[in-house]
Amino acid sequence: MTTSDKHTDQIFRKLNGLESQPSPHVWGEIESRLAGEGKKRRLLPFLKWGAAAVVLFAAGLLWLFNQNGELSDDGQISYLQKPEPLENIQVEDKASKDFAKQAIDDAAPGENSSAATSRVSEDKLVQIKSKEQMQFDDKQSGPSITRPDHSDGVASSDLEDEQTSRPEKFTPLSPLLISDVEFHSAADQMVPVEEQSSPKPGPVPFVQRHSWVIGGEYSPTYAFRDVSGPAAGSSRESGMMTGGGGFSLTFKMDDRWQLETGVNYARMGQEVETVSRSDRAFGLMQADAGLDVTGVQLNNTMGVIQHDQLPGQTSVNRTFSAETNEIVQLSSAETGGQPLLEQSLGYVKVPVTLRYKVFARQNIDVFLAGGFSANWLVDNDAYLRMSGQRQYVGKTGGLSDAAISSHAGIGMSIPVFRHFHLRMEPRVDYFISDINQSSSVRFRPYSFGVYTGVFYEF
Amino acid sequence: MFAPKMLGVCLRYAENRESAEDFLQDGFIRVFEKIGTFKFQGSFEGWMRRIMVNMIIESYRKNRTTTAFKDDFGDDQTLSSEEDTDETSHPSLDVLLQWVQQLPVRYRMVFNLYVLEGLSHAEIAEELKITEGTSKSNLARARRWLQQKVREYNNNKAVRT
Repeated sequence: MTTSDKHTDQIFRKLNGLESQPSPHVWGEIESRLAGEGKKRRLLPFLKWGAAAVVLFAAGLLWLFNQNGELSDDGQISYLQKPEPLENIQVEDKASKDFAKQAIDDAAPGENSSAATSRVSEDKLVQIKSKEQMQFDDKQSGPSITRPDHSDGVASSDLEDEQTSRPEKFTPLSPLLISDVEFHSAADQMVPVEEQSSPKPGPVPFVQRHSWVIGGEYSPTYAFRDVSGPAAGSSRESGMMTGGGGFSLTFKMDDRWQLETGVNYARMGQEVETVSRSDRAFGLMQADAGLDVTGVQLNNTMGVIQHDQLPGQTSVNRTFSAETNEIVQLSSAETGGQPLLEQSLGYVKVPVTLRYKVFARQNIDVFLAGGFSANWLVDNDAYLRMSGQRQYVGKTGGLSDAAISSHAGIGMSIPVFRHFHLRMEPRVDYFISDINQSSSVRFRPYSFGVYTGVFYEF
Repeated sequence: MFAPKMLGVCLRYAENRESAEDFLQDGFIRVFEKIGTFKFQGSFEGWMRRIMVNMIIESYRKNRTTTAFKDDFGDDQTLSSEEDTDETSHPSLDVLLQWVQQLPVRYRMVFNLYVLEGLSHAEIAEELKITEGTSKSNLARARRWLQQKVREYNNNKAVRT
């Protein structure tokens, strides 16, 4: 690439600042095409309003960007330089002078630019331009310029010479991947030569956009446990459907990272198909009623249910209540069903969650989330379901008052209205500390749920 | 608000204002269709510009196979290989635009994409479905023709003064 080619390119790059007002009929034709008259597209009746909303939205965006500058990929805020109107651009002589001044300033970076310029007459400036500016271009072709990968057989020196004087790389255009376009600042490319020599606003340190999010969420959950060994006795344990939720406060550290805490309530536990034995009791106070007494096994992997209230008429049958196989009586007419124990544990949780936005598509953000929770046991209830009845019988003994759990999830956030967004997050919560102190079998609850909630960002 | 800038982009790729406004219409339709894909992570203007240029490239590729373009310089526009370009003055934007618009479309496309958009020859070759050699050749011919225009402009200016 010759110096003449470079000079020609520089001259014509001023066209990047070209602006021209469209003819009024352009908008009418765009409107009619959007309405279906141009390309005979069938549009829904509300599309006109949608298009109008989009135009307003785009205008709002423009206003915002013009107010605040834009965030570039390198973490700095750059400002769009407004090209001068066509009629105001004076090209002759001035551009050459500014061009040469720029060359001298950069060729002698340690010197005061005005002093350096003052020592050189304007005639010399024009002559210096062709050499000094080319050196400047070569020097400036550092890592900030993305060089295209040339793998052809052309002499590399010639290619590099060409590339260094070119504007910032315009990444390959792919019509099918509009959403994947990298948004480089087009300011340099849109500014005429004479404007490039004017002082630009200096780089402003990247200011992180912090914000806070509050919200509430809830999920039906499936809760069960991880145990280190079999339960005592012959009971069969299974998970249970329950629920949990709470309020959260999130600090958005930047566009990708969020730190979240809050207060949640979660129910854990299990269902135990335990064994029972039912016998007819004779000779008691109400022998003529045909009273049945039923023994139910109350020990399992979580612990032993300590009854503080026995259902039905068992309070009168104290004789049978001293053993592990406690005596209950549900109904004389409905004995013989399979007894089922529900051991429900309610925990107040204070989680600390770190979220990372993996990607965003069409305003839908997808997060990976993980963290730990401190858990305090606030509810400990055991219920006995048998023969169609469900009665509270006591609580599981030997449980820790506090425990630590970990959780992880994949969340999806969808904007709903202004600052509100909806978040749906499948999440697993697993206790990393044993909750039963007295049992020989380790018992660690876990739960799965799809937490859904509404959040407000401010 | 962006329309004047976007029309400026279209004018560089078109052979006249009418064609440029057609490009602008198609581009804005595309913008409205794709507005949902804008991720607020960069310049909205840059995003629009990219859509415009993509659309123009698509149009070029499509029409190249169905339309006979004026594909070479006229007889009165023979190319010169002189290198002594007068660098003392620059034509106005209007004049520069006229010259670019007078380029045959394949030269104009390559010149715009290389010089004004900053694409490499490899990238241009991929976008326009041509070889890199063709891209380089087209660029060289476009440059030479434009350089000749600049020289003629400066010579005429010198005669007038």
